[in-house]
Amino acid sequence: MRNGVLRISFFSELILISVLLTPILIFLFKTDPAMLKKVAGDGEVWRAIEVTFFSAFVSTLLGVIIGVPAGYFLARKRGAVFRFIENLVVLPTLIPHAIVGIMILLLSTENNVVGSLLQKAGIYFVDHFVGIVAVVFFVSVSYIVSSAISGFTSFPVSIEETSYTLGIGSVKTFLHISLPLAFPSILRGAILSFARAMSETGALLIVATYPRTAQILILDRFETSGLKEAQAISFIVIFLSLTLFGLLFITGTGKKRI
Amino acid sequence: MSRRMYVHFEKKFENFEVNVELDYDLEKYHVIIGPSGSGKTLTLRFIAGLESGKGRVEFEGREITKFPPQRRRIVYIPQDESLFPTMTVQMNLLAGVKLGKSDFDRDLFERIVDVFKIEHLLDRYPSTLSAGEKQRVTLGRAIMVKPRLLLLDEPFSSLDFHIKLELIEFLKNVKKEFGTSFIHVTHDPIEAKLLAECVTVIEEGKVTYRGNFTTLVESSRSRFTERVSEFFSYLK
Repeated sequence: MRNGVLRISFFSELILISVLLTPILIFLFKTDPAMLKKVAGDGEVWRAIEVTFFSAFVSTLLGVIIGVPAGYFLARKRGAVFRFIENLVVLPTLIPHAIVGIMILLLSTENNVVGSLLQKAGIYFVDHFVGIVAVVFFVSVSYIVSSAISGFTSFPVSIEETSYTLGIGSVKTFLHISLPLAFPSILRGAILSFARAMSETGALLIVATYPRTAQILILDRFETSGLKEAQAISFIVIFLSLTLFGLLFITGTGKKRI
Repeated sequence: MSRRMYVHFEKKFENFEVNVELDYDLEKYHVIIGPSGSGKTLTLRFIAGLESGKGRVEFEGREITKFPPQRRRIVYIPQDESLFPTMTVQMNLLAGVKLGKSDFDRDLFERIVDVFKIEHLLDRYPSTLSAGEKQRVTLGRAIMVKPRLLLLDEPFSSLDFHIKLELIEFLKNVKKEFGTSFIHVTHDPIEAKLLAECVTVIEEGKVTYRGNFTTLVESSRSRFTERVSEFFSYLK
């Protein structure tokens, strides 16, 4: 490698991979198989995993339904106001998790208009599944919006304009031309959002420790039963997550045509 | 009765103003020429319904100013690549028919495939085509929706000279074969000379000349037309 900058970059890459992979590999190889077998037969573990995956799924689905059109809107609008809104969307990712928990908790109390309306409608956040979805949606939706913006700005607007002049309406242009072009980016955003939703712990400790998510259960078992049991539950969660993300990645980006 | 189009377009910017009036016999091949930033593209986009502004667009006596682009039957081909990258050539050709309101005409499709020499490309994606092939497919796709007018915005600006000459001959053939009306924007005087049956010069947002190309070269009315004359004298 003659290029000096590339040589330095290559060593940086090696260091980065080592730093990222070492803890994961140690974690995977040091998991006790007997303990793994024990927790695999524990119903509470599977219920927690179900709550984690389902809440992340609902949150990601809501994120796609709301975030993709919002991302399209922001991608097509110019001006300082829209750039400000674009920055505002990433704000939740910058707020510490415990503070997010306090915010969502305050939102759900009777002391404000939103909270009292929610309670009148029979929607309670504290120790309810809806509360878990509200928390993970708040911390993860930004990934979908940002990815949608970058997806919709990755091709020239003239492609859409030509489509209109060919007699294709705006809805069909969006669904058949713009969306497929932005899809790989949106999929990456959805995967990141799902992963972020699954990993949330701090805010959930404040808003909803029941029904137990896998993260809360791991903390609980770490305190009551020790590291080995917590590690075995974590192993199952990581295995399932990686399998799911791998499948999504292969199906979503396998047919690259552009 | 000859097919006519009338356009009046006004738009003010901070340091620039467009005020253009065009009255075209659409049986002729029209070329709009002028220096960069003179308002040529804005005018074309206004005709297509893609640019806001004051004024009106009339087609055969009928005002279409308030029609959205999808209802005008005026296809705009921009300078940038505009083929749909996730669709094959065949899907691109049929996009306006399948997703829009045009009826499928099998004879027309077969003629387009034949005249545009794209039969061997039908299953390929745009990313695998050469620049010339892309332009042929783009034009074929436009003809497929039977437009009443085709607007070409510097379609050959990024092409090599020999491909450009090939496509110029090709466009003349398309006009004859399909009876399509064209308004073609360029800043290249050679392109204008080879294609135009009527030339319009737009400079600083205003029409400064309209007529045939020979008279334009002889007239030297403005700095731009003088430079075009000088260019052709030099070539001689």
